[in-house]
Amino acid sequence: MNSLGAYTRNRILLSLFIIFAVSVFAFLIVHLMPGDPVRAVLGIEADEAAVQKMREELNLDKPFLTQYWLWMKGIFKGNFGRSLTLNTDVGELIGRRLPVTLSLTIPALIIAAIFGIIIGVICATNRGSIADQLLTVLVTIANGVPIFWIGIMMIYLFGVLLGWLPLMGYASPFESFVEYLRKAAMPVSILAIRPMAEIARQVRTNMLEVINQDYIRTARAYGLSERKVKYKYALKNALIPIVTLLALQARDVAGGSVLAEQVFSIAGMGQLIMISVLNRDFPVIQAIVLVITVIVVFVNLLLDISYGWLDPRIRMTARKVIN
Amino acid sequence: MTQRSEVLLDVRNLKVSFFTHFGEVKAVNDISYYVNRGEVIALVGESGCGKSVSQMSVIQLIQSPPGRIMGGEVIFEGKDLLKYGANSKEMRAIRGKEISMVFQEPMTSLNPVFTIGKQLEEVISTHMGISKKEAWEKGVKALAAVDIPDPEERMKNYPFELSGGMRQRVLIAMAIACQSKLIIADEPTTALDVTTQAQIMELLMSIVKERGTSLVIVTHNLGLVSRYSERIYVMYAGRIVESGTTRDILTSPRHPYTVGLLNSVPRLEDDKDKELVPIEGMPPNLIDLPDTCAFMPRCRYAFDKCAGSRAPELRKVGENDHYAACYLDAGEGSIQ
Amino acid sequence: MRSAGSKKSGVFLKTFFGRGFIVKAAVAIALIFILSAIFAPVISKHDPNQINLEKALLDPSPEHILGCDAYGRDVFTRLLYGARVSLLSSIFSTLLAACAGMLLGLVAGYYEGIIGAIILRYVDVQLSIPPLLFTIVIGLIAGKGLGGMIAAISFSMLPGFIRLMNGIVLSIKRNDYIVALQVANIKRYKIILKHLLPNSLPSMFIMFAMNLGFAIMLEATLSFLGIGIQPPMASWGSMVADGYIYLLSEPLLAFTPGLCITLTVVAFNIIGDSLRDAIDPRLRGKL
Repeated sequence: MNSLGAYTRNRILLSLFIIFAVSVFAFLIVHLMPGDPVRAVLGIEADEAAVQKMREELNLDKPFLTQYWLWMKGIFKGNFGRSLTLNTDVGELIGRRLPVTLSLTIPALIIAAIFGIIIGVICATNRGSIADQLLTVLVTIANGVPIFWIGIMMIYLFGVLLGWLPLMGYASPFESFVEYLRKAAMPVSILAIRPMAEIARQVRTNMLEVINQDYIRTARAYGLSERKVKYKYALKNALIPIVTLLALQARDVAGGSVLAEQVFSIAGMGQLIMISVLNRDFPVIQAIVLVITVIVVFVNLLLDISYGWLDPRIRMTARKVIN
Repeated sequence: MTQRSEVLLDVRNLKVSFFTHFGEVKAVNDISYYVNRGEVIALVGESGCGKSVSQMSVIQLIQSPPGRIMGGEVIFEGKDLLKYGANSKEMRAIRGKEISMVFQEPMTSLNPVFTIGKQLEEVISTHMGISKKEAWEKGVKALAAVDIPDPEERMKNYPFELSGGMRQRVLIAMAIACQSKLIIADEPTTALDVTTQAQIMELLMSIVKERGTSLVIVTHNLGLVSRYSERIYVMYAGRIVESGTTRDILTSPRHPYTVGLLNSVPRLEDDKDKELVPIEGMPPNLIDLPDTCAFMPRCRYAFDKCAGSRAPELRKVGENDHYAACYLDAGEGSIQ
Repeated sequence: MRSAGSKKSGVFLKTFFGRGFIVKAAVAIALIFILSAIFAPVISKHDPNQINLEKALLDPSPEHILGCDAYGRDVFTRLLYGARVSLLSSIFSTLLAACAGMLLGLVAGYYEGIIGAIILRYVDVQLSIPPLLFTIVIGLIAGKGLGGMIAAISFSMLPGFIRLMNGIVLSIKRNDYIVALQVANIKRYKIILKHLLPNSLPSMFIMFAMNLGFAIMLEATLSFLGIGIQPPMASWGSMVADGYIYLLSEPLLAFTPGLCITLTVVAFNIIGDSLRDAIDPRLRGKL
């Protein structure tokens, strides 16, 4: 097995372990929540028989491990249980809301990556310029500004004062792409701000570091054009570590969607979890935590593997040094 | 007698400074030297004496800012290279095509995320205007010329898969791939282990002799170059303090610094119980260089004239263009 | 001796204020924030929670310089008291995270075997859950109100402290002079404890300072979502949420608390960065 294979296998094993651990964590939520979850739903005055019946329906009367086993078995069959308050199948709820969240988070990440890389490269190649100084300001502010507040201020500016964009809401890109663009513009922007600033900062740092390396001097000493030196030789070295950063940003954007959906009243996973937390609707909370984390872990795994594939030092370390 | 008619590279009054927070560092302070076609010369001095900077300046590789070429001429085949902009097309056409450099650090001088072949091919196709496939084949030939076994296979390797000696061979291959007329080798063997050092030097020499390429060896090791170079320039604190044929420099050095360098390295012709004598003190700070001789504080022969006069100019001290910059007017060999 | 000390602190201050005006402004904002939190009752005579519907949505006036909210409460006063909540929760939660993180990191570094592996795997697992989602769930488990929120915030900062401390312990263990002492048959825990504090405190302090801004942000976020500070207590995050309802008519209600959050978090982040650069520039990029 070559080293990329071993690297990939280790990453997959680690991901499987994390998914298992997160499933345990999600499962434990119901038991760690203060108070009786069933009574919380049925009310304190509910009679004992009704409470008992619901316990049985939810398997809460069975031994601990059996509960976990039944829950996982259900999930593998696509059965996430029923919502306690929304009277709907949890799988169906998620199936309806997950695409909404993905249609905001994926574009946000792509935009953040593209613009972050462009900004980072511009700043690194024009070090000390006004653009470069603006980036420092942008990064500082992006890390300090609450994105929910930025969202509200954008609604006031672009929705109320200028009237360019609808105040809130959501439209599916498959039904009306233009409507989707108009409605998703602001939520996607607030999700993209922080990852974009982070990526730009990291690309800039990496570029500046790479530009001073001996191999860049070699490329210049051999007459390669400054363009080729910067945008081919240096950029590839600077961008490979960004893949890892992207994984981190994917995770944070998934969390940020809670805020974006709350501010813009979008019926996605983030809004669902807020509703469920306020209603103490634990089957939904458990399912969301599990589903979102599995997606994040999966994205991480893909990025990790592509990192190993992009960086020849990881791809080939098993080969012998040729003397 | 040197024949200036064959001159390939003629550097005149080159001055290079670095502008730092602490002030102007005069890294290269008015040096002149020349290289004939097919000739091997050496530039010798301690690290920080400006020898590498002077060579990087020849093809304008100095990072700017903070570095700046303050004056002088670099005449290569009759054209002053300093007239070209640092990133101009003309300058780039010289780099790697007419003049190639081999650097000190083979471990870090190749890009880690591109294959050897890709990097060779890029240089060759840039300069020769040929297809990628032809450039690749030329790259294979260049690797074969530097005695790398299985050149086709090595083209597909990444730098980290090769040992230091192998990587230096790859860099030499890159230097000869476009039939450069001049190769500048900046401490080409310093980072390598001793057995590899000799191999690389022999390889370099056989290649330049075979192809009639001129070679400038930059080194701190006078012993290393004594076997290879025809002429030697000794640099100290940004200036050339002595120049002459290798024979003259080794047998009748006229500058106390050269003497110190010779006494600090073992040589084959020495008695085996001869003691090695290090040069006392530290190289000077290049920011506030005094007007007087920069070597004076470390010089065993310094006398009152040294302290009272400006730094000495190079003056002829012997036949065969032997020059030294020292007030000491001693007869041949007497300062040893 | 004394002059050496003052020279050292001079260098420290010079590096700390190295970025000039920006750092001074950040220190000034942080001071204003801390003083407002402490002297809130002195600065404003209004009661932050007193409902007075006659004054609902009152425009700014000399009496109420930022106007009143939907319940007729003085916005400026509520901002002052909101600073209290921010300051208290951020300091307590970061302290809690630092202490727990130091302890767990120490244990994980000292017992590198199975216990260490469990702790570090736990860190990996927590870090793979989106932090906001994790904090929301912990908030649900820990219960509403200030205490639950502090627990949730410190939990989400825990991994950073564990990793930092673990790294410090490991580097001390690998150090040549420690190995030499071990060879000299001096008890390992004694060596580690003796060398640990002087080695870990600067990094821990930097980490603490750099996490304060993060904690303030998290508090504001949770309170905005309605799972942090509960009404009628004032928190900047919940003030943004309350003001959002009246965005069309009274945009200032949502604007001012958000601005307070931004200024404070930015100021704390800048101070944290500058402290890091002044105390240990090698940590740049790592913390």
